Amino acid sequence: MKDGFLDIEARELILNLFSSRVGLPIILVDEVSQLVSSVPGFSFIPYCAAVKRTPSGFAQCMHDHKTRALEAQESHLSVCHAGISNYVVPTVVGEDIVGALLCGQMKIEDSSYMDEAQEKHKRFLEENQLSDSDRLQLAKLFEDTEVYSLDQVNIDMLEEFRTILEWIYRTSYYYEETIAEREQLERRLEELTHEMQIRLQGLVAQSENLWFVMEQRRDTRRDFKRAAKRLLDSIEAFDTMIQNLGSFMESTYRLEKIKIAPVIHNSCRAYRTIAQRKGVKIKVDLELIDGKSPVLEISRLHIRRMLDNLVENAVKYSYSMGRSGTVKVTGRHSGAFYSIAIQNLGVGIYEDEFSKIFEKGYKGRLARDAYRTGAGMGLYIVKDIVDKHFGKIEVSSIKQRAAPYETTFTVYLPYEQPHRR
Amino acid sequence: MTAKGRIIWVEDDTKRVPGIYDLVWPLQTAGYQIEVMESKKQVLSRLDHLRSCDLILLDIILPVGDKREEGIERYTGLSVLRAIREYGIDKPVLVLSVVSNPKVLDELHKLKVAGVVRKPVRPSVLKERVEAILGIDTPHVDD
Repeated sequence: MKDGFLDIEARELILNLFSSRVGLPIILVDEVSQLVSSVPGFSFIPYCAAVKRTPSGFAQCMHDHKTRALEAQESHLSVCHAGISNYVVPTVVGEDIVGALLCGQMKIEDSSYMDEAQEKHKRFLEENQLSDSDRLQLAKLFEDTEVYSLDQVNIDMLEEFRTILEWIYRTSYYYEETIAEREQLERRLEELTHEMQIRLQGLVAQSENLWFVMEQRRDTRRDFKRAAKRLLDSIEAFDTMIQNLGSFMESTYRLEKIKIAPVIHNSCRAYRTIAQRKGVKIKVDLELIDGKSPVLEISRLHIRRMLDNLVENAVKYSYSMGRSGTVKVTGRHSGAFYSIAIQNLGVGIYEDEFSKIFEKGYKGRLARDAYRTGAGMGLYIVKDIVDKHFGKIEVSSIKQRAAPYETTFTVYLPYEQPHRR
Repeated sequence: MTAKGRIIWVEDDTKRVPGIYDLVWPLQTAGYQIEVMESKKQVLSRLDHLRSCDLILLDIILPVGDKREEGIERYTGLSVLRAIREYGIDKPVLVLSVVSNPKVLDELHKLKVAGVVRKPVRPSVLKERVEAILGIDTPHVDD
């Protein structure tokens, strides 16, 4: 699970290393052939960019990546539909191809590849409805595309990177599996608890009736009456234990007056080590009331879970360079509410997604890559917990001039819960 | 002797779980007629029959059917209650439940239940609740 936090940066690091050592552009596409990672400053070569700008060029490129790269079982050199060569390295987890590394955007000097490239380029120009000027420009750009020898592609290194990438994917997959397993376990526990309570209902009913009958009969011995009452008390005590089990597995909200500051500090402490490994600091600044922690009526387990989700996300999507590597957790008194803001600088959220990110299973577009380490359930759970506390949650994500987004989740929790009935 | 009142009890566990039926023993001995309906299907096929009762005791059961269903739709008792209300039956419904899911409880209140009793409940307490809803004074039962 912890390794999942490394996803984005590890992938970019790998691509950077390769590109700087080999001098060739490299990209990582996912199983539907969308660009997942590229080296900073990556751009398609002029010919590729021009091909993508033609009316059906982009769709053709996507289709081409998918069929050519992802249906391949082995690494190979491949010439695209428009005549450009890439070395294609599929990344495989188990039996599933989950993506591919594409390296090159070049022409290969070997005559067999060159012939195929020329032929495909020619066919591309013929089969697409292009203006004369576009056709001329594409021909010129193709002509100008750099020619490499196969030796210049460091295939051994590519294969090593492939191994590392597959390892990253595997840890991500494992993490998703553990979430699914946890949900299944919670559900089974819920069913088991219900079954036990139903059985207890029978016992409670029988023991109270027994005691009631004994109480009413004048000839019942006093010790029998006491035994019947003790039986009823014991069964009800057992019921309390079952209820506690229920709250342990978090289906029951137990509202209590809780000091919020230690709950926030404990949550941050839990993620501090992971954050440090990533070069991210977690800073906590909580407004106290008369020097003491504010007291809120909350379900401790749920609020802890909510905070864990938010802090985990903030660390996960933080960039770890310079001042970006700080997650700020701020608590403030705000009328009838206490607000807790969790802020980071890193992968952001588009404004049109602010309401969608709380939906079950939704994956933000910018965080798409990083979200691979989760099931898209975290914020859904957070919103559910906030709603159940009659609180509210706000999100903002503002693009900074330097590059990353400043993203803030602010949760407002009421000091006291309204009565439900 | 005529019954003091007629209660329909929607509960699927009366045969499966020993002692469940004892829950209504004090009501029966006090003169109430208890009629058990064991499934959603049985309730839906006899909705007219519910019009003539005085009170419905409803168990918010976990489903035995499709376990893939998510959220509160897993609790079939809710859909039974919805059907009862949609059919225009406004008899008081007292819900017996082991479910403490706040979403389920909110939904129950939207469907205007007379009360929710968490299982396990003592038979004497259930009788008190029923009689309070029916407007009948019950002598207080001491522990």
